[in-house]
Order: sequence, then structure tokens, then C-alpha cells
Amino acid sequence: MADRGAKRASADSDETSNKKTKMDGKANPYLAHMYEEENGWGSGEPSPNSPLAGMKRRQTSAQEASKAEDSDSNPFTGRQHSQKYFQILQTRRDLPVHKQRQEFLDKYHSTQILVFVGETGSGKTTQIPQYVVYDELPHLNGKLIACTQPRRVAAMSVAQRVADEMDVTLGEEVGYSIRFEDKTTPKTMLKYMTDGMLLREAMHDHEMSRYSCIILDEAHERTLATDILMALLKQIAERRPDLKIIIMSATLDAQKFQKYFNDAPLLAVPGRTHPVEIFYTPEPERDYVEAAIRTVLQIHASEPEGDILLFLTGEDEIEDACRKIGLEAEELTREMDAGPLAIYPLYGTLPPHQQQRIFDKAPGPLRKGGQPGRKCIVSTNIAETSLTIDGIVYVVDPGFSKQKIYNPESESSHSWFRPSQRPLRSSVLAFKKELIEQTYPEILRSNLANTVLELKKLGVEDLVHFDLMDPPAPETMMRALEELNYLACLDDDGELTTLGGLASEFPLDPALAVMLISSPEFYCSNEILSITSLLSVPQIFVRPASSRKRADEMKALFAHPDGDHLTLLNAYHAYKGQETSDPSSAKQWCHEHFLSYRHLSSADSVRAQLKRIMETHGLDLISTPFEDKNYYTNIRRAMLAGFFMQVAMKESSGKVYRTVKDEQAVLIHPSTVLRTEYDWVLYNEFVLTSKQYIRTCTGIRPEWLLEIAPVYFDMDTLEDGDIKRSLARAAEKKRRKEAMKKASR
Amino acid sequence: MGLLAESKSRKRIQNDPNNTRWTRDTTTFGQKMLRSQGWEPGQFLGAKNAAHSEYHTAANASYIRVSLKDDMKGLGYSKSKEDEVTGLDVFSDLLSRLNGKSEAEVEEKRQARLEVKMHQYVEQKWGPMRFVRGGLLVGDNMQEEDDSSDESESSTAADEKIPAATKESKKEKSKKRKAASLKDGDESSADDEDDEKKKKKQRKEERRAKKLAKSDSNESSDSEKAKKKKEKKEKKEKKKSKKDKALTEEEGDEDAMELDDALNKSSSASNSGPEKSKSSKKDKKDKKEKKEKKDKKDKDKKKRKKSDSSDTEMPDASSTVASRSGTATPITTGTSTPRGGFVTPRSRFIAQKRAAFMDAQALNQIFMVKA
Repeated sequence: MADRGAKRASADSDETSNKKTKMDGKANPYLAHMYEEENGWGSGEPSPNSPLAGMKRRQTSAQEASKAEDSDSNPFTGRQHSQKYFQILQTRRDLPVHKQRQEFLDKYHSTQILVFVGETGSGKTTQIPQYVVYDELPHLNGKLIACTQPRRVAAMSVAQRVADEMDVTLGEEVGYSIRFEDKTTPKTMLKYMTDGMLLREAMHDHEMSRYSCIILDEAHERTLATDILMALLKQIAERRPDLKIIIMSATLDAQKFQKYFNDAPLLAVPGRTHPVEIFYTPEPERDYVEAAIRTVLQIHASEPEGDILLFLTGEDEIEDACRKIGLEAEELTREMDAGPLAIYPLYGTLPPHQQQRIFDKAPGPLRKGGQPGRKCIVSTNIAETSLTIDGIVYVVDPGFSKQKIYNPESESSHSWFRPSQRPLRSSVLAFKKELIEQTYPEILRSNLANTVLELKKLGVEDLVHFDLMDPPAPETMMRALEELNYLACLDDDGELTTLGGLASEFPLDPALAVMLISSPEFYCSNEILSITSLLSVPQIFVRPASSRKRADEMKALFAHPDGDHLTLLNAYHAYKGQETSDPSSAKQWCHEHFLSYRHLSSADSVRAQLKRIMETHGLDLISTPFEDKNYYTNIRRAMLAGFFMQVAMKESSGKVYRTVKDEQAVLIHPSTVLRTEYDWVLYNEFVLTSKQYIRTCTGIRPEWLLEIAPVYFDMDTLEDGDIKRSLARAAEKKRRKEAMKKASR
Repeated sequence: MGLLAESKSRKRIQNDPNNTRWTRDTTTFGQKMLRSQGWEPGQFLGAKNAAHSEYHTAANASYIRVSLKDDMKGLGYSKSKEDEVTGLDVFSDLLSRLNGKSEAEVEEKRQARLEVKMHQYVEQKWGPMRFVRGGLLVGDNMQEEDDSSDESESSTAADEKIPAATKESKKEKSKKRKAASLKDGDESSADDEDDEKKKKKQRKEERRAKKLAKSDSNESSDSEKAKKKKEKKEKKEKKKSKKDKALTEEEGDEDAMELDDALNKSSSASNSGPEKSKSSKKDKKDKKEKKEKKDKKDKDKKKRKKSDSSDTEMPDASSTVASRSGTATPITTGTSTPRGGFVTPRSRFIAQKRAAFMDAQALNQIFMVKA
């Protein structure tokens, strides 16, 4: 370790000397690798007996690496290679990316930032990090190689695969780190992680000094975290010439990436070996769902063997289509002796065991010699990138998918249909206008409050000139700043406050974080902690189309008259009660009560994680006794501490509510349990679907607003109107009540 | 449109729906912060003079505007097509005259309309024409027999009832079509022009045959169904043309939708039919031609394995469809779904309503239009 420290020091001194001699080649970050020999970076050499003997860090060749891979013992663990290892090695060498290993190494050696383009199936996600391992020889200098993934599942499964390929135990040399799970040890040299995790690490280590190479995979997906990481790494690269960065992407936008990284070199590897034939409907369709169903049936009736994947937009649409296809396929089988057709829906909220069914084999022929069966998967766009399903031959794509888009002017999220970005875009070129690239990177679609908080924590002062690949709309940025200011996370000069710093420690939206942090003041931090976790997971109440009524009845068992948040809490308490009394039946119990066991248990782990964070930062976990008459009132008040901006007041006429923030007319989402007529409600989400809805609502009292958020509800600055009048009335009432109390005393 | 009309969505527009109050307010904390860091309204955020700024779009300048999609219309489907009214042919002729179109132009249009109607009439009465390609007789030798196995299969459903005259006219037409599509198509394919022609012909005929086979099997005895089944099994290589067919069928149905007014019960060919649809068809033709070109180019670029077949197929499908209009389906019902087999309740409902409306003769009487 002392050796490592020395290296670090010398690297630092080299950096300083770089600064002095600006015109020197050393000052060029892209040439930094050429000088590493001088500053002792290459000092850790493999022992002469190791298969890696003779290989020099960042100077290896594909041949050397292959030789090392072929050797009997594992260069990293010293153990003998298993039989399975050599089998996998063979398949690995058939991957398209393998042919260009030397080319990759040459480019990698010659540059600091490399843009790597490989289509799906090229093997880039599993192979490139391994090539880097054999080049960086990380076990000798103690620095890690990180490979980010946008999705947790991908990070886990790829890490497992690569551990197998390298013949090591998962969690030792190859590990992964995701939001709720850190499967790494000090031995780890290659770490797969979600992009969000790397960002969190960067908050505490601005230089990312643990890593010698960072690979951003699936960069074309342009998740929020990847975008910010790219901007950060671009900055860090200038400060840390020894850090190598690889941006991996599908073909799209490769030039944009190159341009962004100061014309970084590009390496492209062909992927998909099977050409895809694309057919468009010659005419626009009157009803895309119907047309899609029809096409599926036509394929089933008259095309050779092969499974079908149909893309649709949402749960309802998918279930409906499944039903219709099922009926028609049955008829087809009955009357025309067509093969059986197995239909599987696939969408995010589907229970996992049902999701797993998409991997089932297609049904066989009904009788010997009959038509072969096939399966048809009807899916939302989650199957677009994150899944590989064997046997799919036909893809039917109407070209629509749902997307959430944040609107800074009304502060709502819209469920929006966009023409999708799949390889098979089903539309005629004549309608090209409608197919204009409309996949906006996440950073342009989301509320940036959390991002701004993160950036502040990352030490980014100048938000305006922060070099993002796609700078967000100024309006969105303004909204984020305002929200943080109201939440007192930023002071009036735009500096991070103590509260803001604390809030950024939580992987939560600022409003939720602030609610959680201030909950001890309301004597209900345990409960708020539960509610926060429940709000951070998908909806726990299941409402399958087949048994809506029963599901609603079950939900009513947990209903709390004062609102949805408290209902969530009740359900969670009931679940916990069940789990402690009889853990084995918890799953069954959830199923019976139309609760999602998966989401409840993930809420549980979120809760555990948040609890740890709270404990490290000295936030008390307290509750009042359940019998306390203020038990629920406290919770409702505590929620206001974070959500005071998300309240709506009922209009004098009818059911319409009006949001305080921007005076939008909204309805309470039909899923609410709120039965009592509250004049004021607090809501978790404002969504625009067919109407403007506020979802997950809880009733509140107007006087609390004045008490808890006096800055936001400042009677002097509020505009005249119903809202001000109502608040004034509430204040007056309260004042009188207090006066009476005093008088009676 | 009475029952067919879309449900009106009533919406109250509130004061300041776009919240311009907030947008205009320059004193908000957000604006203050951004301005203090050197931002001016109208500027992008992000690094100054960034190299990648050429890729910035409107989405970087301002937030993304959305429009809500609350219907099921496919990409590019416009409402206007639905609203075509029968009995306007004469009226539109009049309008074109008033607009200064020459008599010849008007006449040309009229002829085109008539042709379509005749086509539909013939098809409705005697069904579509299905022949099997027998190859090209050059001297005493037959050429181009590569697809022969397929053809013998589909020969089950040859139709003999069609008078020779119509046969000829149809053939002529199809030739014209092919010529047109070739002209539009990529010049590089000039070498195999002949081949292409042949293939197209074959394919078209196969399609027709199959279509009949399908409708037959749907409508008639089980034995025929079984036959068709057999065909299917044996014709696995024909996947391409079948896919093609699927497309044409859909297309045909679409067309049928618009033309159904003319189809239903329009016993007299001079009946003032769907003028509008005809003209729109012409537009479509143009579009399709453009598209064809693009298709071809794209495909050429990609140099796929099956570039040959797909090259000819894609444009073939669209061009035939475009010019043939209502002929693709054997008997049109006015639905967008093929007849027999698959009809969803919803489309069945629409079809009924439509049929009730689309009695061209009745409507002509209502409009007092002399055919």
C-alpha cells in the first residue's frame, strides 16, 4: 500500500509540473499516457511466474493478452482455470468485438478518451472491460476499473457473466455496486455499477481517484446520471491525465459524442450479424392497435416458425390486445388448424413471475405433424433495449410509446406518446415528419431539482456554463433553483445550505429528503421514513384488470379517511405485521390482499437504506404512541414540511381543485381513498393524462400552511384571490381560537 | 356524422393556461440566479462556444412541448380522409371548372374516376382476377420458371368467369403500373428490368390467387381449407410474397374504406362516386412514388442479402396498391379489416354504421346530384 501512496504522490507532482510547463507535451491530457513511465506509474510489474509476465501496463498487445487467457492458471487469482472457462473463452472469441481487440488496444493506448461504438450483440459490455483489465493490470496498482450501466439489473447480470468469463467469484475480482447492494471487496478490480452509483461516489470523491479507467456503457441511452457523469469526466480528464475514459454507445449519435469529447477518436465494431428486413404499412393506419393485432395474426397464420414481439404503449392497451389476439388465435387454431399461439404480456408493473414467462419456450404443435406453435410477446418499450429474448423473428411496432415529460411551466409530468426509437420503425417514410428523432435525453425531460442539488454537492458552481452534452431548458433550471430555494436547500445567494447538503445525502427528490429530515420535529420520523420509502417504489396496490372490484375492496381495508399517504402507511404496517408474525406466508398474504410483495419488500430495503443514512447523520427516529390522538395529524403536518408547494385548494364549485403553485385546475385521481371533503389537499404527483390529475393526496388544514411554510405562503406577497382569502380566513380563525384559549385560561 | 362522429372532448381553458405569469416574471429566484451567472434570456445553457453546440435543438432552448394523444390513430393518419363525402364528384368538377381548369383536365379526372369505379364494379361482380404465371414463351422455350412450384400450388383457385375483355384491360393496366414503378425506381436496376417485371407479375398473380384461396377457404367448405393448409405448409419459401400480400391487403382495405361509398350498391358505373377519394389517391400515388425511391435507395445502401427480392417487393407492393386502389380485397366490406377470420367487435360496429351511411345512391338522392 505504501507503494501505492508513493505512486499517488508522484502522480500529483507530475500534475503540478504539467501546470508549470504548459507548452510541453505533458500538458496535453491526451498524451499523458506517453509520460507515465517517467513518473513511476508502470512500476508494479507482474511477477515472472504469472501468465501476465512481461506485460507492461497500458502497453500490452492482444497477442499477449490472448496468451495470458490461454494459460492454465488464472493470472488474477492464481487458481487453475476450470473446464468451463475454456468453453466460454471459445465463444468469447467468436464475438465480433474480439476481431478488433488489437485495434482497440492501439486506440486505447493512444488516447485518453475513446468513443466506442458497438451495436447490440457485438459483446462490448462484457468484453471491453475485460480487455481493459488485461491492459490496465489493475491488481498491480490497486486502481479500479468501473463500467457503468443505466439499469440495476444489467449491472448485476453482466457482472455475473463477466465473473464467469474470467473464472472468478462474483464479488471478488469482479463485483457490482447498485443502489441497495454493494457486492465488492478490496480485491475487486472490475466493478460494474449503475451510473447513479458512480455519481454518488463522485460526490464524495470529486477526482474519482479510485479509478484508473471509467467506462460509460450504453451512453446513447442518455440517462440523467450518464449525462452528468460525462460532463464531470470531461472536466476530471483535464485534471487527471492518468484517467482513461471509454464512452460506449450504439451507433446513434456517435459523432455527437466525439464532438463533445473534443474530437475523441472513434472505434466502431459491427454488431448484429443478421440483417433485419423492414416492412412498412404503405398507408397510415386508422387504428394502430387493431392494425398491430391484425398483423400479428397474419404472421401467425401464414409465416414460417418464429416468435413475435409486439410493442404497444401501456398496460391497458397490452392486456386488451392480448385478449383480442388470444380470442382470434383460438379461432384460427380451431378452424384453420393453425399452430397454438401463446401470448405473454410484458410491462413494468407486471409481477416478476409473470414477466419471467416471456422466456418460456413457444408451444409445440397441437398434435404430431401439426403446425408448430409460437409465442407472441406484447410489451411496452421495456423490451426495447434491456431484454434479449431468444426466438423472436418478427417484430411488430406501431411506433408509439409512453413517456413522462416534465413541464416547468405547469410543473406537471405528462404521459406523452412519442414515436419510438426502435430499429423497426413501422411507418412509411412519407410520414417521416412524424418520426423526427423525438427521443429526448432524460435531462431534457425531467425535473432537475435533484440534479441541481447533486451538482451543487459535486462542487459545480456555475450552473449556467456547466458543460453538459445537452444543456437543459433554462426554464427547467429556473424551476429547480426556485424549488430548492423554497425548500431552503439553497440560500438566497444560491449557495448550498446545511439542510441542502444533508438533503443531497439522500438518494431522493429534494422535497422528500427535506420532509424526511424535518420529520423528527413532528415526532413521527419513523412513519415519515416509511411513507418516503413507499413513495420511492412503484405503486404497491395491485389492480389487475381481471379483478378490479376485488382489488378495490381489499384496498378499502387499508383505507384511511384522511388520505392516500396514510393508506400506504396502513398497508405497510399490515404487511410488516404479517411478515413478523408469519414470514413464510407474507407473499401469499400480499397476493390475497392485492399488494405487490415485490414493491413492498423493495420499499423495505429502501427504508433500511434511508434509515442508515438518517442514523449516520444523527437524525432521530421517533414515533408517538399509536394511541396518541395526534398520531396521524403529526404525520400529515410533517409531510407538509416537504410538500408545501404541492397543495391544492378546492374551488367553491364542484370537485375541481386548484393548485396553489400555478393555479392549475386539477381533479383528484380516481384511485384516491380520500372520502372526506377536504378543502385543502397535499399531493404527491401532478399528472396530465386525459385530464389533469393530482395523485396520492392527503387532506390538510390551511392554517398548517401558514405555520409550516410561512415563506411560501406569505400573506403579503400572495396574489389576491380565493387562495389568499381562504388562508386569511384560516389564519383569522386560528387567531381567534388562540385568543379564546388564552381568555379561558 | 351522427353516430360516427368522435366524442367531443369538452375542455375548459383556464386563465393563463401556459402560466405566462411565471415565465414573464423576471424577478424569480431562478431567473436571478441564472442571470447572475451570465445567462441572458434566449441563450442556451451549457459551455460557451461548445464544439457540440451544433447538435443543440429547440429542446435545449426551451422545455419540450407536448400534445396529448388520446386516440388510436396510427402514425401519419389524418382525419380528413375519414370525412370524405359521397356525391361530390360533379360538384368538384364544377369547382375545377370555376377554378379555371381546362375541360380536358376535368375530363381526364372524370375518366380516371370512372376507371376506378369500373374496376370496383368488375371486381365486385366477378371477383378479382387470379392467374398463375406460366412463364414467358420465347420461341418454343419457356423462360423464368424458378417460381413454378409456388405457382402450381396457387393454381387451385383460377377464375374463369372473367370476360376476356376485362382480362386484357387489366393486364394492360398492370403493365402500365409496372412501367411506372420501374421508371420511378432506381435506375441501377435497369439490367434486371425484365426479371423484375416478371417477378412482379408472378407475385401479383400469386397474391390474387391466394387472396381468393383465402376468401374461399373462409367462406366455403372445409376441404378447401385443408387444401389451403397444405399449400401453406409447402410454401414456406414464399414468406416474402406473403408478407407483401399482407401489406397489400391492409392497404387495400384502407383504400376500400374510402371507396366503399362507391362500391356498395353502385350498380351504375356513371354513378357519381368518390371523386375526392380519387384525387386523394393521386396525391398518394405521388407520395408513394417518392417513398419508393427512398426505399430503394435505402435498401441499396444497406446491401442486404436479399436486397434483390426486397428491392422489387417493397415498391411493388406500394405501387400496385397505389394505382390499383380498391382491387386488393376480393369483396370490400367497408372495414379496415380483412373479410372473414378476424374482425374485432369494434370494427364490426364501425362497419355497420358505415354501411348504413355509405349507400351512395341514397345519398345521391338526398343531395339531388344527377349522376
